[in-house]
Amino acid sequence: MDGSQMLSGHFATGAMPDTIIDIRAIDKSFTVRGRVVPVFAQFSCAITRGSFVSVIGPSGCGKSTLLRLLAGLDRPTAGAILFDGHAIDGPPRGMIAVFQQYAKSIFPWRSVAENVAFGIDPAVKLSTAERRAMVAEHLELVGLTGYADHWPSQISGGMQQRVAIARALIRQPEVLLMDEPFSAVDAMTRALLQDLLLKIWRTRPITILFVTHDVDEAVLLSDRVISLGRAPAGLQEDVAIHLPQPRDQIETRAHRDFIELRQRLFASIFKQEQSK
Amino acid sequence: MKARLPGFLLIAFLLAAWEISSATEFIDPVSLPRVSAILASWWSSITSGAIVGAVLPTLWRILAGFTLATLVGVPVGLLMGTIPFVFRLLEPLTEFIRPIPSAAYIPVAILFLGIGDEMKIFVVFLASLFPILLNSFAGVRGIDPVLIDTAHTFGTSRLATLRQIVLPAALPSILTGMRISVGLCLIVAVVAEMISGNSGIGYFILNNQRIFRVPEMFAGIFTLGLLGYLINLAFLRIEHFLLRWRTTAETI
Repeated sequence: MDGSQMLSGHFATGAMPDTIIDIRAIDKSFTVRGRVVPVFAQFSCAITRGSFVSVIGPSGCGKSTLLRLLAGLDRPTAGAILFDGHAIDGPPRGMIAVFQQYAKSIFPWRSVAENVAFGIDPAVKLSTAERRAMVAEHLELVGLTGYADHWPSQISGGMQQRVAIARALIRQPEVLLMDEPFSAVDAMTRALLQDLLLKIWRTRPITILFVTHDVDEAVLLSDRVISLGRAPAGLQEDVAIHLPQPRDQIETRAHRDFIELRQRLFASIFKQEQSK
Repeated sequence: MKARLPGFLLIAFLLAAWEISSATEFIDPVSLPRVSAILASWWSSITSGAIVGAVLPTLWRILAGFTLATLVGVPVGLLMGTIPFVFRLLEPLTEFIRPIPSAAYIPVAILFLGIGDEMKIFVVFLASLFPILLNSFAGVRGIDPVLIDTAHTFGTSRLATLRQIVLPAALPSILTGMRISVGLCLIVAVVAEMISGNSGIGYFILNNQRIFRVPEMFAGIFTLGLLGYLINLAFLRIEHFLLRWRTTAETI
């Protein structure tokens, strides 16, 4: 079989039956000191339900802007983004964003358990015992059993990001949006958090959209990597990652295709950074 | 406690120096009586109930004015921080009123409210309002946008965001404002009591000066020092409890 074909299937941008997010020809520009700076121009992309999609690209290409648009925290200047067929015009139910600055996004005045409990949908009526069980279950999922009564200031950065992940998952979102969530932790902690995320994606019916500047991380985690070009951004690369599942920190990283994909995507971004 | 020993020793030394210079008539002992004489009259004023009788009205005025200021200042400050229109509406007014020393309002307050408790409570309220209001506002302004994004992504309602995120995030700043106000309260209450009326620790001090009972006058001043110290201590305890989540991060 031809290896390159197996590894790089280009996705059509039109809505497919199992499309969960459909970005339709969006424009987005910011006004900086009176000058209009375009970030997206006629950008389209469709995300398949249940996929793990990473978004990479040179710095300032609009990766985080794209995530904020999807999260409903910002509006496109033109065009529309559909979530389950409905245009997003505010933070949609069923989508939760996890931010890079976990230390600022979790509540320092709430204990670990209280932080996680914040994520429980207020529209769902639960007894105290049910809430407690749900929190305990999610603390166990992210490996924080035994830290329920700690203050965030008493735990490490990696653990704080686990709190943020547990708080997002307890809402049981269809889509998890993650903006460089592991960029502020050390390499070992990052590997452990990556494994946690892979486990969550395997065991739950969830679509993950993952913004990262780390090409290796994108290839390791995702089944599709989107590389954005310099602003106004378009799809520079759109690569399906057919590496064997479940992914493994040691084996996947040593896989011949991993190295090839990683090189190709890295070279593509590096060239753009150089040509600035 | 050990760390505070030098400070206490300095106080003891100064009191001893005072005692000696008064006893040897190095300073005029009529204007500055011996510490031992002051302590003796302090004790007799306490046992006679005169001090308690003077302190209670003052405490009541402070408590009432300060509570009112908190009830008004915190919500208005939070609203100024969250709703731009409220900020534009109230900011010029607060900036104009704020720099005027609260004691300057006493004559006006007397015209409108007389010389009773209402006037004193009002002046205490006005003095403590602005530190609380402005620090509540600053607390909201200082909230990290990531926290607000977090509220949005979880679809938290405006009211729930205000109560569950904005208020606790601004609490350290609000408490700073309240602690500044507590100090101002005591000053303004005493000044108001000295200007008019016939009760309170401010009146007690001024009256004893007028009838030339100097040791009693100093006993009143010592009482004020102790009162201020105790109020501040109580406030620090409350603050320490409310911000207990922060103590591990900022070990002193």
